[in-house]
Amino acid sequence: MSSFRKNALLSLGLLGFASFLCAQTSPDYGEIHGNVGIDAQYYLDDPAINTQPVPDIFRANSFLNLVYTRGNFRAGLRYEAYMPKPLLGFPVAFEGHGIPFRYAGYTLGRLDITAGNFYEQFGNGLILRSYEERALGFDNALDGVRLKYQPVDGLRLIGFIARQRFYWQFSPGNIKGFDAELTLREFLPKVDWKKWNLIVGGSFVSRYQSGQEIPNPDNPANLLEIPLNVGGFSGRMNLGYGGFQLNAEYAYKINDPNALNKFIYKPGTAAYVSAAYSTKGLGISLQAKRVENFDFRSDRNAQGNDLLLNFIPMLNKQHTYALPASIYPYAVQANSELGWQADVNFTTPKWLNKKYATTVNLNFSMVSALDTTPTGDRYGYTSSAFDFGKRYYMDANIEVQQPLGKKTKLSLMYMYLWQNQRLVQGQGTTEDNLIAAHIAVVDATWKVAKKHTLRFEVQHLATPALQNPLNSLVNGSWAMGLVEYNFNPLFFASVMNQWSYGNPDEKKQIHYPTAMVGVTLKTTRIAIGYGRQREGIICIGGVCRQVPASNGLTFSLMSSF
Amino acid sequence: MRIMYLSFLFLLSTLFTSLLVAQKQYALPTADVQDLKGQTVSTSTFTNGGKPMVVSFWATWCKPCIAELSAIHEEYETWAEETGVKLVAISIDDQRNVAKVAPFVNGRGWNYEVYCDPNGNFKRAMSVNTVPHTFLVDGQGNIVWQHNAYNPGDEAHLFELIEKLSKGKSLESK
Repeated sequence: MSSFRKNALLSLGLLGFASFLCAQTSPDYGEIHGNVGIDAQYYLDDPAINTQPVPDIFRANSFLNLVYTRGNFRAGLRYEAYMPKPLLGFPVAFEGHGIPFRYAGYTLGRLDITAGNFYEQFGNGLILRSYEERALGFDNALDGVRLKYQPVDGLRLIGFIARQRFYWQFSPGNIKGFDAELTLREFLPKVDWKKWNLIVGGSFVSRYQSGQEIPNPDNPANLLEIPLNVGGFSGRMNLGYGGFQLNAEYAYKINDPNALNKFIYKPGTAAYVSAAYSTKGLGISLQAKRVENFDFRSDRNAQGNDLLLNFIPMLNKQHTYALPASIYPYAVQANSELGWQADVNFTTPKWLNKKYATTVNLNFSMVSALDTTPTGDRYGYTSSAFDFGKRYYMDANIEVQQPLGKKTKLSLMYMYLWQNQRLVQGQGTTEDNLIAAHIAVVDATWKVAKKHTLRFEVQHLATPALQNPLNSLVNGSWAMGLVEYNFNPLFFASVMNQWSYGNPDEKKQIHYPTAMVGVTLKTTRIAIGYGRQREGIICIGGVCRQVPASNGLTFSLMSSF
Repeated sequence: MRIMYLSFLFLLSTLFTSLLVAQKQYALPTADVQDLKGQTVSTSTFTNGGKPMVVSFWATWCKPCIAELSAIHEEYETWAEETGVKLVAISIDDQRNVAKVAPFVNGRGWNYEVYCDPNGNFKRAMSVNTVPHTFLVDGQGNIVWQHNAYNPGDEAHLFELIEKLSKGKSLESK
């Protein structure tokens, strides 16, 4: 049978399976639901923005998730197709189609078993987080067996043994993980806890990967001695009193010579602390983090976004406006980071601003490298506990939201951004490339009539043009405008333009216009767009992906059922 | 050509499947989320004593989500008085922002029951693609209506549905 026929049969089989299950209305047959998505693009040549010629000018990324539940039993699968090739910017290793994610699970009183694929996060994710970020083509799902058990109230145990998804293959490393969490309020319900709340937890994650011959960089005639088992431990606590909340976690990893730390034997550490206070109308949070040599993967040779086992939370605001989010984004440096963040939210009290309260968010973050001294041997370096090394990134911003009446809402944002582009984006020069930019955003929503809404966005990024630009298309100041029309709840249309008017090279002062129209039918959203996509880095939830410049027609469909 | 055809087939079959099931109601699935104290809570404990419940997926970085929850906040007391409805807000912020959720919610004075779903357990169980995604759950714990995206004024339609539900009428009734 040709592979095409097989594929067609597979699709039809899936469809048949879904239809069969859906057609059953009696609760005895259980319930099925899921979601689907298709992102497709037709690529056009556009030399002005450095598009690369692509052999397959029409490409689509698609998926279908099905989740079946019946009583305590559950099962699910995800079909993915990247055909004929993945969209530009997604890892090429995704090419193809199949079912990379499938599982079955059962809950039996206090015990829960999952066989097959699953996602998991221990504590803050410092030593384990497996998750999916579809928009980035990121999926480090685990595949194996997981047990969750609650022997007594308040005590939760999780254990698993698995391998990680690596596109259409598996990680070379075998992963074992164990986590225990004790919620004292539930464990000792007779104690009068008043306003106190305490949760403590600990986890252990180990990777077993068979040995390999890696020459010692200091002495290429000899081979490095490589640990086959690499273990990571972590302890955490979450303490609350009324409106106060303190969350701390410390993690340690034994020596793990790997491609990203240049095969040194130094152990890794990570510490994360957050303190927050909030009451009606006011919320404050402070966070600090120190990460040293803590890139943890299920393959010691993996790089980029491949086979990550842990998650180092970023300590800067997650921007969503285009210029603040995407011109100079920050990416986590898991091998050396020391940083902190402060965030304040408040709403003006009624006596000050009777009719329409003002909401304000203030945020400051700064992240530096550790202050290190090379040891000159395979141990790598020593570091000072609290001294800052070279600064990576700084962001100070204020965002104000003010309704101007029943029909108009205004949001204003100002941000000062500072970045050492060479260190953050790892671009290939030896000289630091320091960026300082002022960004302003005005965002206004106007409800023109019942069901008709207009939204306007104007953004400006001001920065001096550099003499030796690393990424010439991003050099200098930018302006952006957007107009969006919504006919509730059915239809939307938007036009947008980004313009690099401050580029010192006149040929590189480029407009990036895009237009998009779409419909939303309950939980189905279909959109068609046309325009230029800027070359750059998009980041979602702490993971970034390099996107090449492109020009063309896009189609997207998302639906859940 | 084959591949184009296959893509087309995939599109067609998924559309067909989704249309087929789109109207069906199903019980609120079970998953573990965290309350604002960091305590693990099973969604099987979500209840509003036989009254309607709104389950709204949002994130601190999602502007339309904040617009939706702010708009409902203005009218929430009236809604609750008239229909007994409760809103459960599920933040899909990951660990980067989890510590900021409580200050964010309190800083805005929201009175919702808020939970965090930092690794997407509940989001996946509910087949949520993007936020905002709002579900309406009847007194028996069945999802009877859902909607993706938010535009100013959408909350009025949601309230009409809540009213119908609280009066025991069908959602399609006039």
